[in-house]
Amino acid sequence: MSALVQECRNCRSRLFPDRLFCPVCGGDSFSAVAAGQGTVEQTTTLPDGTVLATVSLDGGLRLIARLTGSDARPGQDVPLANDLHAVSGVTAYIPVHSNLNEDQP
Amino acid sequence: MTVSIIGTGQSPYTRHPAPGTNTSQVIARAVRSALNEAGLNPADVDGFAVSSFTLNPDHAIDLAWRMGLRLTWLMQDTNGGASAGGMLQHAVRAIEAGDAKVIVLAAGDLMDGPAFSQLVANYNRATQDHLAPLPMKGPNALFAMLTTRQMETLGLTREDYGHIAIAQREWAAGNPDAVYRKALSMDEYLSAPMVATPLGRYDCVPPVTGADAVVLVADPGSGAPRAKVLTVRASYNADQQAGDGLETGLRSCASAGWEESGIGPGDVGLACVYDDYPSMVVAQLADLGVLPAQDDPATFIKRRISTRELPVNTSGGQLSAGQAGAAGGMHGLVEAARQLMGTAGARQVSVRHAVVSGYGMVLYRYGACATMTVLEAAQ
Repeated sequence: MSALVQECRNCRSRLFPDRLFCPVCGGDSFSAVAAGQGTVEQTTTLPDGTVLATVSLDGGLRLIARLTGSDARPGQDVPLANDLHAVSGVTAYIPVHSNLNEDQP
Repeated sequence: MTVSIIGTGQSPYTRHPAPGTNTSQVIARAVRSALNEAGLNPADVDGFAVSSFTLNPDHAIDLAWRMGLRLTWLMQDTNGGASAGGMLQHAVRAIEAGDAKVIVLAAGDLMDGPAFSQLVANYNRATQDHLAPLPMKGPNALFAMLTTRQMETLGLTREDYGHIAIAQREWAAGNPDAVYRKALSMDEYLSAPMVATPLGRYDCVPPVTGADAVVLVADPGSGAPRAKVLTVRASYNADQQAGDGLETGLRSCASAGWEESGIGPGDVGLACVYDDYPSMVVAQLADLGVLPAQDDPATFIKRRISTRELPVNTSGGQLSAGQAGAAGGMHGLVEAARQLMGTAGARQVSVRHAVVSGYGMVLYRYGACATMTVLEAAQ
């Protein structure tokens, strides 16, 4: 289980959503890398019970996720997933509906 | 050269537009009302700019054509809550450069239920791909989490935000065009249905249909009241969405903006800041320096905003008057100009300088655009 994020091949900055040029070094060559887990920073609960979260990865990249399975508290590490079908237990779901501007090797 | 606002106009904000209402009509009504106030006709206008989310398939040129305008300067802005400042920045330079003499800036939307749903689901590609499928319907959840971060960072409570919403509602009582004018109590604020914790109903703007417009000219020297533009600055992508969203791009506008204005943040008698949520009122007042860094924000809200010692969003702001789509960005500019020109009716304050901010375009986690304008009352 993991979520894909974009990594600059030049400076290794991790980015999400995908960029065209790296905001850190200006590079334009990227790869898609898998991020396995993140740390819940904040959550918000919607009237229908949906829990959305800001999840931070090592290095500081922050993603917006839906927490599935059970509730998770700020500070808790949670696995990340792009695919809801493969999920059991508490998971941070990160939808992706596009490619990540990845160069073909 | 000095550029001034000499007319303001609004098409009445409404939650329930009459069947058949369309965006062009609503914008044209605001333009007509601004021209009337300035004592001008459509034939006098040679520059026009518009911002709207729902003008499609028309564009600025279609609208100008249908209003019978013959122009030497035309622009369309897509930056929502920051569009008024962006258009104003361009318009001031255009008048200074001689590209146009009389410019009308307008913004407005038909924002009924279906239009709002369509807008928030397709706001940009990042929203389509990564937020709407969560599912997330609009930015409330993002600003809920931003508000939580601000509460932790600044030591604010829900009551503190409530004081902002209540103070703006008190101002709205003096604005016949606000959609919510009835006094709001702290109990009502705190017990309102939650929208996205910790945000309740009164932390969020009511979407409305409506439009705003201003007329700009070079210094007319006619003796008529006007609102002189002392500075207008913009910041886009100040932090590339990599921060916590608690600072806006206004932070990078403030020092040059105040320097050009020749006044400081302590000198303004009115602040019209973009109030999509009370937390953003706090963030923008802090970024502008109006809420001094050394002050306790909760104390500032109670001692200065609640007491009206510092008038903030005297129309009631978008929280009480309503958010008319892209016109949300022009709402504060119109209000500040009205206060400086003495046309604010029952809510008129005595003021010489006002600061106006725009904020908008949530790319993924918070707004990426910010504008700062300082206006001065003149004759």
